[in-house]
Amino acid sequence: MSILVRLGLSIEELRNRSKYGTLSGEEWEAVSELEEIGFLLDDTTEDF
Amino acid sequence: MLASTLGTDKQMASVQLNDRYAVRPVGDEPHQQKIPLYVGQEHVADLLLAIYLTLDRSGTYLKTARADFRVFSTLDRTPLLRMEYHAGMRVDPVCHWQVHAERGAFTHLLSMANAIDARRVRRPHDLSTIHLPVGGERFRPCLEDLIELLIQDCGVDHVPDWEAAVQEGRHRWRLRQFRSAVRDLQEEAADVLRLEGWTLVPPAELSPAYETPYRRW
Repeated sequence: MSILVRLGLSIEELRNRSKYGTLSGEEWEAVSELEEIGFLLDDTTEDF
Repeated sequence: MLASTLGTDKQMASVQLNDRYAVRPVGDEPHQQKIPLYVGQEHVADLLLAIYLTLDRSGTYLKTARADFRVFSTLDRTPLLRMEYHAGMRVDPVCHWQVHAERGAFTHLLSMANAIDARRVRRPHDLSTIHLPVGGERFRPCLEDLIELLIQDCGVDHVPDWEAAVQEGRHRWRLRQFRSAVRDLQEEAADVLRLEGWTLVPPAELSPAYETPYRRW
C-alpha cells in the first residue's frame, strides 16, 4: 500500500498508466516492487 | 559473474514466500537494488536483475518462472532496454526484448496499423510496445548475453578477462538448456544419436514429450 501511496495512484491507475501511458522513473521502481510482491503472493493475474 | 565482468561486487538476495523465491540484488529501496553501469568511470545507467523461481512440474526442482533484465538510464530512471522472460505469458512472446527508442518510419507504420486495429497496435508512438521474440523457454538469451551486449556494443566499463567469465557462464547456461531440451524430447534426441551410430536402450516407461517450448513464440 505504501508503494502506491508514495505515487499517489491506485493500483488500477498505475496499471492503466503502464498499459496506455509512459511511466516515470519513480513509477518504474514501484512496478518492480509490485511485480516482486505479486509473484511471491502468486497474484499476477493482472500483471504490468 | 557481475564482479568478473562489470567489476561490480553486488550481493544478491533471495526473498522467499512458501515455495516461491525472488532473487535480485540486495537493498531495502528499489534504487539500492540496481547495479550501476559506468562508461569512462561515469555512472550512466543501471542494471536491474530479478529472477523469480518456483517448483517445477515434479514439485522437486526449482525452475525459473520469470526473469527480468532491465537497463535504466540515470538521466530519467526510465528503461533503455528490457529483456523479459515470463513462462506463463499468454499473448506476448514468452521471452522478448523491448527497446525504448524512437524511429519515425517505424512509428509511421504503427500509426497506420493503429488506425485499422487499435486493439492490436495500442501505442504507435511507443516502440517499446514491440516485443522482439528471442527463442522461447529453451533458446532464450542468458544474462551473459546482455552483459556482453553492454560491454561490446554500449561501451560499458569492464574488468580485464571479462570474456572468459562471459563465455564460461554462457557455456554453463546453454548446456543446462540443452540438457532440458533432451529431457523434453527424448525420442528426438535418441533418433539423432542413433543416426550418429549410438545403440540405445529405451527406459521401460518413456516420459511424454514436452513440446510446448517448441511451439510457442
